[in-house]
Amino acid sequence: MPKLTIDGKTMEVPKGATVIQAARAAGIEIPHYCWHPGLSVAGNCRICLVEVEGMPTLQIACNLLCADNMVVRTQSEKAKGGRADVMELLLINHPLDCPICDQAGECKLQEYSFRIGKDRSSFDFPKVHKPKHVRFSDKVMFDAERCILCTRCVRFCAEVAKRDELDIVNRGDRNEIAVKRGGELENDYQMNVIDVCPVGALTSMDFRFKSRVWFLENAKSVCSGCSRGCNVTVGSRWNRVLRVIPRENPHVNQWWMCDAGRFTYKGNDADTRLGAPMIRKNGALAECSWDEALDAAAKGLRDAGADLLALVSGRLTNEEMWLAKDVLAHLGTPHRDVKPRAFAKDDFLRTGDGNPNSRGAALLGIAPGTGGSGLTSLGSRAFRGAALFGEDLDDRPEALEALSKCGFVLVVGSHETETSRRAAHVVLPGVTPFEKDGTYVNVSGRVQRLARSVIAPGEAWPDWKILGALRARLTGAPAPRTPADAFAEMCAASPAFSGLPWNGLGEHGADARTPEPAGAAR
Amino acid sequence: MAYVKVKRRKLTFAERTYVAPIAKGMVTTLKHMLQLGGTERVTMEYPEQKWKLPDRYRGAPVLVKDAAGREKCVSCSMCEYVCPPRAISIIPGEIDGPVEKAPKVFDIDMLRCIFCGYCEEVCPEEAIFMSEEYELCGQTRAEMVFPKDKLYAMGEKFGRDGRTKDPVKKYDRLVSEAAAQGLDLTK
Amino acid sequence: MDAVMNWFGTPVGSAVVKVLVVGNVVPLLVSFLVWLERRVAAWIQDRTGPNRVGPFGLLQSFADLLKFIFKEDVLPGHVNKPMYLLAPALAVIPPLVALAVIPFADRMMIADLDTGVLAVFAFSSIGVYALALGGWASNSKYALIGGVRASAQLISYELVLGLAALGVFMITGSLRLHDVVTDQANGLLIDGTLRDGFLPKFFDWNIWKQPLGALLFFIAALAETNRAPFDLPEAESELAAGYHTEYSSMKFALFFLGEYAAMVAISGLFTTLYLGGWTLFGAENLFAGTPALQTAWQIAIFTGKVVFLLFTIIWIRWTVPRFRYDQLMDLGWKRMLPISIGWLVFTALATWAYAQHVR
Ligand code: SF4
Ligand code: SF4
Ligand code: SF4
Ligand code: SF4
Ligand code: FES
Repeated sequence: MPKLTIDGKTMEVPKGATVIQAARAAGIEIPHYCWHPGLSVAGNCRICLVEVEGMPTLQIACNLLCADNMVVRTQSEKAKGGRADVMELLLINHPLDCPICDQAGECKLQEYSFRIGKDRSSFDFPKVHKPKHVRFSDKVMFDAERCILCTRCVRFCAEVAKRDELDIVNRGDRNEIAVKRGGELENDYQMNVIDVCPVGALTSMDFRFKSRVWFLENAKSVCSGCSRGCNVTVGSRWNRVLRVIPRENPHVNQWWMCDAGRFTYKGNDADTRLGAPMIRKNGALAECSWDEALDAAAKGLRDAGADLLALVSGRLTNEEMWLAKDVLAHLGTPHRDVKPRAFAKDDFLRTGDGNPNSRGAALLGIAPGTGGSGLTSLGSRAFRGAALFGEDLDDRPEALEALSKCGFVLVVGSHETETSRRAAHVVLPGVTPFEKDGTYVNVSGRVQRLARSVIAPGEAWPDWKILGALRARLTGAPAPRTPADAFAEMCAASPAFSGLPWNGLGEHGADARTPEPAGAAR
Repeated sequence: MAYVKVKRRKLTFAERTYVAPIAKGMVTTLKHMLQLGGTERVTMEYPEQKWKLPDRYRGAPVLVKDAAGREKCVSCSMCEYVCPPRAISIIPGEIDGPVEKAPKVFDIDMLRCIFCGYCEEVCPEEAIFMSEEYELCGQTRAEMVFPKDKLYAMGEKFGRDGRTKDPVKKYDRLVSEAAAQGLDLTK
Repeated sequence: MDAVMNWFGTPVGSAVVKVLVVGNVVPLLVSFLVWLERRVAAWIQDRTGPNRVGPFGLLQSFADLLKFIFKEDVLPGHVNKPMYLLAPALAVIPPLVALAVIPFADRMMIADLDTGVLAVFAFSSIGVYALALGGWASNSKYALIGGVRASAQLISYELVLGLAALGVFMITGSLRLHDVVTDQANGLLIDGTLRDGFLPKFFDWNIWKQPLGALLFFIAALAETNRAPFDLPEAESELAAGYHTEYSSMKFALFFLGEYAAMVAISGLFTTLYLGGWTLFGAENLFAGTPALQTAWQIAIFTGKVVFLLFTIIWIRWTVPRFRYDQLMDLGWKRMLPISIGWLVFTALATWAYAQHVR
């Protein structure tokens, strides 16, 4: 356990730690480009220079192992001057494209240039020009002029995505990054290179020129793509989600997320969004008021009673599942199920389970009860009624066929689907995971907060509000006023969540009390 | 020093009759009435007569193109960000060529604009200027939101000492420099 | 044609013509006056003044009138309604009635009363009711102060006005305004003989025989019409707008109209009493052959004199600052009243002495 002093602060660090890590742990930020906590050390950008007592030259903090009695100064004149010189060198051939560069506003080059750089260059010659807007794939755009050759992207592909696709080509000041063998980036985590790139050399084709980043309203949320529940930051503007980027969470996704997860927002402002409740009258769905629709829904559910088949979506939050379960318990029906949803699977982040909250469903017991039947029985057995909470059967034609024969079908959902068009008697417009607050339980049992980033269109209600209102009509129990109310109710009644604080979940979530679902019936 | 007692002058008899001072005053006003003795009318009869605007006058902000007729604005949104009353709204767009970016929509709400000139000040591309135009009126609010075309048309009209039309050919320089190094940026 | 002309000769016909003439000249004068006020004020202040509506902006007053008509007519909730509504009407009617006895031209007066000038004074003193009523009925402190000031001021200066004018009637020996005018057009009567010609006729004007009286009359007239420097009832820097603070739209315009009509009336009276009325050293008879033209010409002469007076009044307004209220009272009671009484006695003595001499 070496003991060293950085900027007058003495600390003890684990063996093998580097100075930059030690400083970070102590809250001292040392500028860095090529060093990334999730990647190997390259030590090529030289911006992390610090002065070490007893060493004749400045040292790079990212590749300097801590040693006993080491005295490091990050703010000495010598260290500052060294970093300013490195900054000047890095900018020699930099185009200063900031007005058109998507990175502007979250660019480390801008930040450090402003904070530790000089205000002018002593370089008088024409800059070296390199190819601009080079497509690395249909997701990633490359600008060779802006690249500072830190090789973070190269290392990410090789070390994290395990597909060694990028490399440096040419020599000297003609150095640039290229896809190996002139191909395209193919790995499923390639968009992370956009995030690791400290400058605007790698930018997103999807987010390209959509908005300057400083206009974005950022919400710290969870990805709804699969049951991993990668932590994300959702950037929105004009009440539209514009991008989803990963957020660091050491328990779940470290710094990364898959590309598919970044596109989960795509359907969010589709034309098929439902904006008003509807009731089927004379064979056609007609818009109506919420009261009317809720009354009709409650009546239909009550009539179906114990012979109701309920499909609860694995995309609903725990609170919503809890409310749904309460409603079903009151009706006395054992027929409840979650529709499985397929998703790609690999040995890094992607779990193969497209339901972000299937673990929550299991913990809350959303599965056929004693004597109950599930989704698979839909073709073989006739139900008096069916309720689809946030779910559809568009991908199962036979099941849909059977569903449309039910006497009463309630569909709660955010989009108009074949299911709602063909089978529904009452349609209640819900919202997408970008439009509500709540919690998910990820595949390893971590309870994480989902945060609202945009407002749903029209008169759509968050599903917890719909379910609360339905429950109030059926049982008379008061409807929760906020998702936090529902969460508290759920925690009080459900051992898996007992004692979890809504506000205390923090940015990284907390583990559920019983990681293994008790007595899962399937 | 509590107070100073001002001594009143003793008025002469003529003054005390009021008549003489009043007559004197009336002569003065008569002079002004007839513009005698160096007095002159100061009213400016707008709109027939107009001010000669000082060089630094800040009228409506307008957009300008460069000497080759290209949009200078790259929709960096700095002006949108700095604008105190949020009069500017921009939707950036992608274009071909080395510049890559130009505004798809560029609206200035002249009802909101306070003519502070921050946008001109902040613009890194010298694409937006405060013109001499101060006669801004319309009959609806929508009419007072000036779209891109109108702003460019106004920019054409109000070139001030050639300042707004100065030949910044940043991208010509870029392309030729790159060409000298054997790189074609125009594709 | 003859029939028509003959009808004009009948009492009814001539009355109609007179009413038409007088009834049109006065409003036109008032509208012109408002324009003049604003133009002169502007010129004195090195501005241009209204010059957009019509030639030289002459139609400005009509535009203003239209504006007044279309403005919202606010009736405050806290006023005494009948009195409040009566006041503006009272402000306009007395000056117009007073104008009925003023000769615009030879025989061009609506009513040729033996007591002519007394009628004028009688009517114009009704004007004080408008101000006092307006101020009181408005139930507002500014208006009330304005109204109280107005009543005190008007009563004080009416006295001087009457006393100053008396001198003229002593000389003329008649209260008929027609006689007052013709008396000034004879030429000077010296040594019992009548001198004719330009100069004698010029110096026959009462202003030369009654200089101090004319001055007193003029000053009192300013106070009577609430003109600066005696505009205390509506002193805007102290009282918002004085007695008409609570009035809006056409009701306000009526006060305005009344004030200007009063100016026209008092200027007409001054012209008649001191400036020879419609006469102009014999030139008034230029068109003796054609009566209609003759009358028009005389009206023009009369109007010209009145306009000159009005101009002077406006000129004074934009030159002299407002009096303080104690100064106003001091001037009225302690100076002008004694002086006018003294002047009256002097005139009486002089007239008696002259009569002895001439006989
Ligand atoms: S990479 Fe950074 S410094 Fe370079 S142009 Fe982009 S925003 Fe500017
Ligand atoms: S593209 Fe970005 S991450 Fe890759 S080497 Fe260049 S600067 Fe570094
Ligand atoms: S002048 Fe000021 S207020 Fe007007 S658009 Fe520019 S920055 Fe905005
Ligand atoms: S600051 Fe200049 S370049 Fe940027 S968006 Fe505004 S006008 Fe365009
Ligand atoms: S961060 Fe240390 S050399 Fe790049």
